Amino acid sequence: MNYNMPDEKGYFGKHGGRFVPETLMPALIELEKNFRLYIEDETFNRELTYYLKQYVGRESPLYFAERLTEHCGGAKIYLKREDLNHTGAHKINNALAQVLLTKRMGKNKIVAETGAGQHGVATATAAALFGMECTIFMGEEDIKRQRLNVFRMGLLGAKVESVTSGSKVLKDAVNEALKYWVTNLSDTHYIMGSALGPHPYPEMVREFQSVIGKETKQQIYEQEGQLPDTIIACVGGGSNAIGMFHPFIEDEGIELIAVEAAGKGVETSEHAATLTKGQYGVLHGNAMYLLQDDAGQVHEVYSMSAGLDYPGIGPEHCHLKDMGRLKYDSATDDEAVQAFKTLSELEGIIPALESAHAIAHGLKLAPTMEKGSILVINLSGRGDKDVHQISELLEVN
Amino acid sequence: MSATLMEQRIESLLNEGKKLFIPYVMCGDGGFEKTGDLIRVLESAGASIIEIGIPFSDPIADGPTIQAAGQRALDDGVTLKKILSFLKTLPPRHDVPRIIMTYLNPIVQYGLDAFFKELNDAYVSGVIIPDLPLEEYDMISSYTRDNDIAIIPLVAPSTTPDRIERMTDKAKGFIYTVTVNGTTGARQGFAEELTNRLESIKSQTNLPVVAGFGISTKEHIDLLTQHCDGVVVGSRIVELANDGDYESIKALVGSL
Repeated sequence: MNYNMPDEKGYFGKHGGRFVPETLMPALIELEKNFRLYIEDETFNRELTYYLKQYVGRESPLYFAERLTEHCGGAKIYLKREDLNHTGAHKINNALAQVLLTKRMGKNKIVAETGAGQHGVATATAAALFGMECTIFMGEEDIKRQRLNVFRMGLLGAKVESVTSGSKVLKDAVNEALKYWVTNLSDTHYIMGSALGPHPYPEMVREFQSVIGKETKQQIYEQEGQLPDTIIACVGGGSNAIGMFHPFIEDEGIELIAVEAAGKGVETSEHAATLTKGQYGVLHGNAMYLLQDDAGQVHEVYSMSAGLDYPGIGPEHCHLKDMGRLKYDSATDDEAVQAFKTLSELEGIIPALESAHAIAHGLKLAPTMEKGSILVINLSGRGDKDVHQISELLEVN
Repeated sequence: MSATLMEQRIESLLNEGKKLFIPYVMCGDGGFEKTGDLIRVLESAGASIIEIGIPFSDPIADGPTIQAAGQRALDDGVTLKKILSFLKTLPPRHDVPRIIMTYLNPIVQYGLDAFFKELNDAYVSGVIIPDLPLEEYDMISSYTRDNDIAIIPLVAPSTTPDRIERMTDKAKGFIYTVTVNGTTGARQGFAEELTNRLESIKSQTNLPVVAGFGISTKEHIDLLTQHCDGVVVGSRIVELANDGDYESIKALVGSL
C-alpha cells in the first residue's frame, strides 16, 4: 500500500480541510508555507533534534514489560515510554517543534488550548525556554480536576485563561483560543495540541509526533528483530496515536488499534467515543467524525480523563477508519482506573489516566494473542497529575 | 426571493441614494413569536435586508453577546428544522429580503441538498457561512447555483487583494467586510485604516460593500456609510431585543 495523505487542500479522504473564518485564512496559508519550508530545512531539523535529545530526553525507551506480560499470559508487551519525556507526556514533541517554528516566523507570542493540562504545560515550557509570552485557554471544569497542571503553567510564566462558555471543557477552550488568535494574529502563533484543526495542523502535528513511531520501529527491530503484531494507543483528538501509527500505516500486516474513552459506557450518553458513535461533521476548522445531536449541535461529552474529553477526533484517524486500516475500541472509566492500578502495582509505572485507557485494552487483548507475538502500547504520559483525582475516587469507593 | 431579485432590490435602494441597513436577529432567542415580532418591527422601521442567525453550540466567529443569545435559543430547543418551518410561515413585508447566517455543521447535518432546496420556500435569498472560506466554497456552490441563492463572502482586514478578487467572482448580493480582526460584538470606535480599506475594497468590486462586526451606534453608522454601501448591526440589535427595547431598535434602524 502506498499512503500519502493529506492532499494539497488538507483532506484525508472526506475529512480535514480548512473550515475557519476568512480572518484566519491568510495566517494558515502563511503557516503552511513556513511548515513546508522548515520541515525540509537542515538547520531547523538539527536544532529540533538537539532539543529533543538534550532537553526532552529523547529517545524514549521501548520497555519490555515483563511482569505485565506474565500477568496477561499471551503477547509480549512493550511500552513506548513517552511518560519519561520532560513535562511527562508526548505533548512536548509537538509544542517544542511549533515554538521553534514560531521563532522562525518572527512571532513572539503563543496561544494554546489544553484539556488535561499536558499540552498547556508542554507549551508553557517551550515558551519559557525561548522567552515567549504564553496564554493558555482551559475550561473551568478542567481547571478544577487538574489543579496541579494549572499551578505548573503559572510557575512556567504562562497566563491561564479560564473558559466559562459552553460546557467549560476542552472543546470550549479550543473555541476561545481560536477567537483569541483571530484577534491577535500579527504577533501570535496558535499551537494546536492535537492532530486536528484546520490544515496544516493535522499534518504538522502528526509530523512532529511521528518521532514516536519512528523510534519505536527502530527499537523493536533492535530488540526483537521484527515488527510488532499489534500497536495500541489511546485517542482523544489523536496526537499520540497518529504519531505512533503513522510510520506503520504502510506495514499492512500490523494491527493498529485506537482506544477511545467510553466514560460510563458507550451505551450511555456519558462517553467520548467519537469513532464508535460519531457522525460526519465540521468543528474547529476541520471535517471529522463528531459527537452531535440530530440538529448538528455538538454534544457535551464525558470521560473522567480530561485529555480524552473531546467530541471530535483528528481527520486522519477518521480516514484510516474509513479505509479499514484502523481498528477502534473503547475503555470505560472503571477499566482505565483498574489498568492504572495494575500497571502501577506490576511495573512500578503510574500511567496518565489517558494512557491507562490504552493499557486497559492491552490487558484485554494480550491474553488472546499467541505467546511470542508482540504488542506495543504507547504509554503517552505519566500519572502524577492524576494521583489526586484517583485518591479521591478510591476513598469514595 | 431569489438572489437575483435580492440584487435588483439592493440596486434600486442604492440607486435611490439610500444606504443598506442590515440588522441581525438570533432566530428563536426568546421564542419564535418574539422573533416574528422583531422581524416585523425591523421591516417596518426600514431595514434593507434581515440577517437571520442560526444558533450553534460552538460559534467561533461570535463574541459573548451573540454566543449567549444562541445558547438561550439552543436551551429552548431551537433547531434549524424549526427555524425553516417558522420562516416559511412568515412572508416578508415591504419586499425586505432575508439572508441566513449559519455555521457549517448544522446545515451539513441537515443535508446540504435539502437545506438549499428549502431556502426559497423560507424566503431566504442568501447565506453567510463564517466557517466556510473561499477554498471550501465548492462544497456548496452547486446547490447555491441550482437554487439561485447568494454566497455572501466575508472579507477580513487580513484578506489579500487577490483573494478579494476570487471571492467577488463567486459572490452575489454584496460583500461583507469585517471591520476588525476579531469576533462580533460592540466596540468603541474604528481605526482610520478601516475607512481606507472600505474605499479600497469598493474599488476592487462591482458588488455593494457592507461593513459589519462591532457597529453599534448612530455615530459608527454615519461614519462608515460615508465609505461604503451599508452596515450590518448584530450584537446591539440582539441586546436591545433581549431587553425588549423595541423603541431603541426602531430609532437605530431609522437613523440611517
